[in-house]
Amino acid sequence: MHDDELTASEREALRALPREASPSDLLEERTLQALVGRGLVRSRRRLPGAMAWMGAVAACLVFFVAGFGVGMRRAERPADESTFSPSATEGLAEQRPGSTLTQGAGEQTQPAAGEHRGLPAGAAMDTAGGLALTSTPANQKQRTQVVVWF
Amino acid sequence: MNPQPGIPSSDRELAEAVLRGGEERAFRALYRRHSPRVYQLALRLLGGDVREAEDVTQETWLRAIGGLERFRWEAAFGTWLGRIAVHVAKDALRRRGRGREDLWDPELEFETTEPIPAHSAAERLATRIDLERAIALLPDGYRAVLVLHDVEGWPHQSIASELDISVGTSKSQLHRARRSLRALLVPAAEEPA
Repeated sequence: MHDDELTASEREALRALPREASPSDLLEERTLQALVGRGLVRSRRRLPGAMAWMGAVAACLVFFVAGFGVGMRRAERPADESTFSPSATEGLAEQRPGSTLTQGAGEQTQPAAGEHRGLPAGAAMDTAGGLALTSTPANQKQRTQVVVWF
Repeated sequence: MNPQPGIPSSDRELAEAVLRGGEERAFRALYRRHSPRVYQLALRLLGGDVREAEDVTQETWLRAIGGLERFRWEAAFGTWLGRIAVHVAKDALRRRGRGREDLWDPELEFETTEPIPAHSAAERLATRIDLERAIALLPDGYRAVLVLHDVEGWPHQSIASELDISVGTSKSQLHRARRSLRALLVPAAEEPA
């Protein structure tokens, strides 16, 4: 009935046609989102991202509160307690009365990074780090304490 | 089971991962493995319409993943996917505005107009392009049967089942498709002066 068969070359030409073609990359994402929308596939991007952000915010809050607490505790410590780190830079110098000259002398050690000590009364606090100067009245032997922190 | 990149997993393992855990990576692996074939089949059935072929490909995956629970693995996953693609493409062809009767109407005759000039046999690539163009020019019904039978190798029984036509209609449509295709591919030497 149907004698219109393919010739060998026709059959070969048709069978040789490519069986694959690459669709656009957008199609993959589009298809995935459609499946996610139907609840058939779980997207691994959405949930971990939200959780990661929440975790980061929580970690920041914890570090902030902890750092604030440490800073407040250190600021409240009296100056003559043995909280002075031996690594702090400190010097004592005797001066003539009236002089506010300061100089560092004696043992000097570098404070640990980020460490600072409570200052003696009358000292000015430089939050950026620096020298704190004190002077005693002229009728007293002057002792000038130099505290350096970083 | 979590498929790892670079570690080949079987279709069944990947499908199980999608079905049980909705794993995105498992789906992507399945998609990248089978979509090129599904897309090419859809593209050819739809006469080269890229947008429609992409829609058919997407819908094929939606139906496949949605029906994974019912798939009994009696055939290869790719074969099953191909059948879904043909079914979806058939629906797309019908939505093009033609009724079922028109698509595979035994009385429908395709009147060829200008044949596509053929290149010499040595230019294989050009010949293949001409053949693709000629197939795309066929009526939807002719094209579907010819692609499934002569390109994909489907038997008439399967074609009839998927296209919801009789085996006789499938055979007659194929006969007409081949005749039309030959008319479109008249070699340059045989063209009337």
